[in-house]
Amino acid sequence: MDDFKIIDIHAHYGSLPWTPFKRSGLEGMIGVLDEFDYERCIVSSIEAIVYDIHNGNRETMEAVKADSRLRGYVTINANYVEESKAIVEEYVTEHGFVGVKIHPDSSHQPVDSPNTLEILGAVDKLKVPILVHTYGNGGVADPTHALNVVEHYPDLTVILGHMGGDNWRGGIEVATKGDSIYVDPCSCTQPHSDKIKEAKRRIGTERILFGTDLPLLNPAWALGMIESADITPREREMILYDNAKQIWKSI
Amino acid sequence: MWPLERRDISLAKLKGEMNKFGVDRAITLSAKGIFYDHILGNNETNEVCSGDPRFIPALTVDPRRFIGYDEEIERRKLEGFKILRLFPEYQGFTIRGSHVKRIAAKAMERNLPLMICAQEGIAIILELLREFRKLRAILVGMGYSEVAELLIAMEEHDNLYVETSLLDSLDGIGMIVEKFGAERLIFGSGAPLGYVGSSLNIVRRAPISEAQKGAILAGNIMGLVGGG
Repeated sequence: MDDFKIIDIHAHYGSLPWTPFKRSGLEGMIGVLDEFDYERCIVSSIEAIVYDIHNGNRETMEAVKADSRLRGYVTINANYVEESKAIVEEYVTEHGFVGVKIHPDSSHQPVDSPNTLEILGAVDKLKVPILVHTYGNGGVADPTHALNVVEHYPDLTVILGHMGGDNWRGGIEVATKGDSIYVDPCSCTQPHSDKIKEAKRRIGTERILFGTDLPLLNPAWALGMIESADITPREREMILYDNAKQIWKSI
Repeated sequence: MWPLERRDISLAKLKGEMNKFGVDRAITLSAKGIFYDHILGNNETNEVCSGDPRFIPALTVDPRRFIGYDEEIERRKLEGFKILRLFPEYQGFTIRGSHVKRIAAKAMERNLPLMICAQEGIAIILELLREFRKLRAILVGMGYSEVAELLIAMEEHDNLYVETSLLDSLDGIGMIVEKFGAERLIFGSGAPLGYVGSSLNIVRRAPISEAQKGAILAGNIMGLVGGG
């Protein structure tokens, strides 16, 4: 595994003040990038997800400027439509952020809510991917909500973060509905050791991406999933790096 | 058979995972004992483990059945079973139940560590340990959101051990080792249902010494089960 280049498409920037953990913030992040020899790591703001989109995105921008391996997702909050649209415009066009992060469990709005769809209109025009937190069956983060997004914006690249989590079969099923839908299988739920194998069987290796949920989760976990999966070295290379390069060619 | 979804939990699959990742020995038990009949399941476990020294047998008892639990524990102890595993997460009983307390007392009497998930919260496990102070308990399935409570629980009870398979935060294993040493962490993977590579990686890449990793991966559990 040490020979493969890595692009982590699902990481976060900031501290985790509601946990006892210490290895977060910029210093912690850089330590992890070094330890795991990341080429690129695309981060969204923890603070923007759970609290303040203004301060959180701003801090993330500063972090991205501080280390050339970092890239940014701009995080929106669907309860603040106009502000989110403005933030998306600003961070993508002026600060070079490469995608948009949406967390339905934090905003309590599914990714196909009227508010979110309105914001996604602005995202679609900028032609950057969205990374959507998907988890569970029947709630606001149910991966099936992504189907309405694809219906409204067929050219928008949609990444199902966590691949639906404990509803990972549902996440894969959603991904079978459109070539613009990708999956990121990171999450620690068990007993689910067939996730990657099943995703490969249903949608092909080309649409599986490597994410970790860093710094909440240890990248060692997600790397172990790739190591454990019954896939070829070439397929590992695709998941860890090449598939992301297909989405972000100049990242 | 894994009845909750179509999964391969055959012995061949488990052996394949152990070979692939260099796992020397595994504590294991039959799923039949979890979902159907603990006596038949324990029979199956005994058959497999007595024929292959790489497997260390764990017995299970379904508290909902209860009748005959003490004879079952006695019998399995004599057969060489090393650990008692209870499954509130699948069988739906409460750990506060008087049937569970009887079983815990028997496990303590026969010096069998109790492996259990904190389905109802760590506080409920602590209640059990306060009542049975010499009972050694291994908590399974502890994730990042439980680490703070674990740190307190481990401080209160020296006989509380933690299985590592889901301690997948950047700091989880490191923080526990820093505070208590490595002696009370036990490697687990959930194989073949869980990702062995992931579970191994979080121990191997933890910011702790090689000796501490060795203790977590093998030494601690062998100490608990008396050398296997």
